[in-house]
Amino acid sequence: MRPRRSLLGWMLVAPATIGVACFLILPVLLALGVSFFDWDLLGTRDFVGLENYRSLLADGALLNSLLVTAVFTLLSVPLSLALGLILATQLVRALPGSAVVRVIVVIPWVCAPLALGVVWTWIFQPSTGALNTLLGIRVEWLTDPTLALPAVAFVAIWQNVGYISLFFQAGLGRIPDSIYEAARLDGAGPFQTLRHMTIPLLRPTTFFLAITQVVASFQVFDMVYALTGGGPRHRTEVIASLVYHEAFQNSHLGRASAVAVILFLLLVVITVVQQRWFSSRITYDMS
Amino acid sequence: MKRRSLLTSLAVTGTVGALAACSPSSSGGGSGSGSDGGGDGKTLTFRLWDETAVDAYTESFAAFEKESGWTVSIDLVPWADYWTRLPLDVASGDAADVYWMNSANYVLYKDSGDLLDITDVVTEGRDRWEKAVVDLYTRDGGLWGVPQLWDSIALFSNSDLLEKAGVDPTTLSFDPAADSDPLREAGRALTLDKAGKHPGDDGFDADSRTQFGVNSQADRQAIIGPMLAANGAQWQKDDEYVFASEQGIAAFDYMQGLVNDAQIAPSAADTNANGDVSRDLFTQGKLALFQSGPYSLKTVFEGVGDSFSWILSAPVAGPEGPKSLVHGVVAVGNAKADDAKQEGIAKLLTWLGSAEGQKPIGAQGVAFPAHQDAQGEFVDYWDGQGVDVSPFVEAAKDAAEADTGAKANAGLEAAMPIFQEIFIGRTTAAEGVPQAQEEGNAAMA
Repeated sequence: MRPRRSLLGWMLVAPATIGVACFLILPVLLALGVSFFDWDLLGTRDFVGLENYRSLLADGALLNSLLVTAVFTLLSVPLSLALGLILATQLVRALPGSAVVRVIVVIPWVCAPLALGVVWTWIFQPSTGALNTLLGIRVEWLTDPTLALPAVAFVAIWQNVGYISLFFQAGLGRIPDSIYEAARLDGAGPFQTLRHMTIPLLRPTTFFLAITQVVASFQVFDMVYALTGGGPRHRTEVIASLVYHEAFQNSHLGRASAVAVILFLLLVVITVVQQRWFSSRITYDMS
Repeated sequence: MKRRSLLTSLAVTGTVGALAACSPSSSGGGSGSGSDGGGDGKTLTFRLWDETAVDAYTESFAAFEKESGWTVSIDLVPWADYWTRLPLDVASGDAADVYWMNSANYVLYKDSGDLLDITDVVTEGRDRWEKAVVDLYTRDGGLWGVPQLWDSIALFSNSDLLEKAGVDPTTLSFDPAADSDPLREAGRALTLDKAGKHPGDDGFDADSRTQFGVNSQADRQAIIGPMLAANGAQWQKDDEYVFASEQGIAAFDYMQGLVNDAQIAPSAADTNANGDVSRDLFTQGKLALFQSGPYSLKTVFEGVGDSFSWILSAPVAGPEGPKSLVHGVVAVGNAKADDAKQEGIAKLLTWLGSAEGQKPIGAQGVAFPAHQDAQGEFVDYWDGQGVDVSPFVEAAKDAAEADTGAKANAGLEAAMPIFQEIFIGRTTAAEGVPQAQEEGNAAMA
């Protein structure tokens, strides 16, 4: 019986396994291989060993992109999570109009980032943009080197808050009311309840969101591309933009692959660190 | 698919997969692709990036089909995706049989043996093709595309505003060595703030300008190219930038001065972020002089409507006279398409190089056809709309060189952010132009 059951199991997972192997593992391995070549995609491939990695580290472009991406992540992820949680705590109270607000805040997440980027370039336009007109000032949001990255992060936060709040709403829905009642009877105020009960009980949700949001912000590309194109002077050139520029504008597929490999390794490290950090914290069983 | 093609596709997927996978907005962006289109042996594929040209080519191919028996399937890939998809399709053997190409990109494909030498394919009528375009695509003894359309640069003028300010657009000129010149004087007269003051007047508020004199922005084709050439600066020599000459630096300093010192051009903070700001201001009647190409004609014509009258004239003259940049688009033949299709490809390229094949491009007002005998169609179309487009024809006769080289795009991508910094006034021309040349040349190496 066991071999037959085992065979059935393999058959059931085979389509997914083949898909993952062909469209994920094999391309990753090939990209790793390409990173050791000098190749413009159309001509011949010349083996250059670690030269692509060496040149990337030497010319500062990779370091700049890593720094830009790290700052973007630090600006966008914690704020997105905090605002998403605050929004969720209000939406679960089922106040009048909550259903409408719930739909409205998710709309930006449903929209294509590229389209959102284009719309926000109009809003951020210094002379005729809606934002400056509303504020009655003239700020160069996307062309000032000190403001461009925070402006991009702001759009990312605006786009993601609704999506994040959905998960927090689901997490909040799983916390039994009796726990809050007990806390109230013990004299806990709203802030104490949030800090000592809600946040710890939402740790699994927070863990999931933190990992996915960090990974997503390290992969962000199209919205940044539409908003600033990586400028001014590479101040918003996130790591995925660097992959694109190297591959399609500079025709350096080897260097682009090297950046992609570094990005992959970096995400693996970040995910492992996050997993360790969260697993060392207590998770309450609410079942 | 061949083994190499499969591996290429997978390798590229691996490299850029992160981009595609992370983005929920990634899309195909085209309408079919590849040389497999059609199915039977008498169907060819043709790829282009301009949606407005599709109807013209549909009309042209209908006539070609009757004459040759070959049908042509059109594959539209928008400009935003064109140069990303093309190398992938060419490398994996899925390129169209005939496709549009520009001068900044063709050398890469020519060097890798992907393009047919047109001198072997089209034997008659080549002398009727626009010479400026033929020169752009002539390299290493071959011609690497059949000229399709071209554009040059002219000056769009708001006649109502110019008449009010007493400015004649045909007399405009600039001289970076002088303290003032007709362009700056006209620009000053045409620029107004909310209180009706001109730049230089007491209390003039640049942030509240309601009307601008002229466009000056980091636009290689309409502004940088013509202004540098008109000041006697050369853009590139062979495949290397040489624009950081004394004349080149002076021209850049002059162009940024129109924005930051004379304050007669829209802010670079606006034009760097959105290159169409100047065109939009012109169509709204808020910009008096707008230097651009035929690619702006339709938008300006439809946007302006009856709100004011406008005319075209020669680009602003510099010490070397008025100069334009001529860009040309060609149709290239896929040298690696199936042998069975090569006869059809040769026939299609010959048709695309004929006056009959190009007439719909002009007759539908898409662009200037590259065949001289078809250009009258475009002039007639715009005559019918009340616009005299002859300044574009004149401007093309003494044109400056457009970008070319195996990595011309990479060079421009490296230089352009520095040009933008010069226009916005954060970097001086003396500092930025040599830096842009150095970084541009490094990217093209």
